[in-house]
Amino acid sequence: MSSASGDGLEPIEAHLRDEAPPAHAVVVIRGGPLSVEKLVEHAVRQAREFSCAGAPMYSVSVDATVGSWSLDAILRDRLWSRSTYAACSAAGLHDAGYVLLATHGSPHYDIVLADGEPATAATLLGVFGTAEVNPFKRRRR
Amino acid sequence: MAHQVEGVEIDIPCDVQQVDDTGDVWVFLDEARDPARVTPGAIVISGDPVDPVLARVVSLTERPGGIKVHLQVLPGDPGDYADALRRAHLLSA
Repeated sequence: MSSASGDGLEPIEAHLRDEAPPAHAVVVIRGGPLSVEKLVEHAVRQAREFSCAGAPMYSVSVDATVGSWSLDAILRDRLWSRSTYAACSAAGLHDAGYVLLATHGSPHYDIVLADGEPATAATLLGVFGTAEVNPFKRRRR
Repeated sequence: MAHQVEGVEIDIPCDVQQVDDTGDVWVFLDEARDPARVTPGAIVISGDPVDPVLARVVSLTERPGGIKVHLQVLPGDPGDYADALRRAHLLSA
């Protein structure tokens, strides 16, 4: 673990994977609930712990279909507790102006947000579009 | 489609995708409904009211932003654990 920055936040730069940006065709997956409240909660929590370029890092965690990770594998092995998910392409995020950082262990990424405001989260949700049912959700019989 | 179960009370919320280098989910202790229940080794209800999960508290670490709690999400639906406990007569209701 690296040391914290001067303002006490942990620089995310110390937790970036040394890899090329994801190809535009890569699918980026966010588990449910797909709500503004949930994204704001995540982003604000992240900004209490991590910095990016010296400022509090507002971001939302996602998984992406990189390496051997397929959509099904992510939904089954990493998002099995989520009833729903939403997906978009890395190109779609890029075109909408978002930065996708390869953080911590693959296939985890962070989508960097400008702030932790509800309007910012709502805009990101709009890029992901409609929520889908996770067929791999481990449900009660 | 998922729907929120009325009356579900989460011990400490988490986002199952919000992990760090440990691979575990993390949150802050001040997000807990009753922080006193969140101690290393404790089993808590986490996630969110739509998709609650069982989790084991791995560690508590003082950080500049607060006390960081690492959680290990336990496999399976919480209801499956309740069913197993009822079968063994370890849970009456």
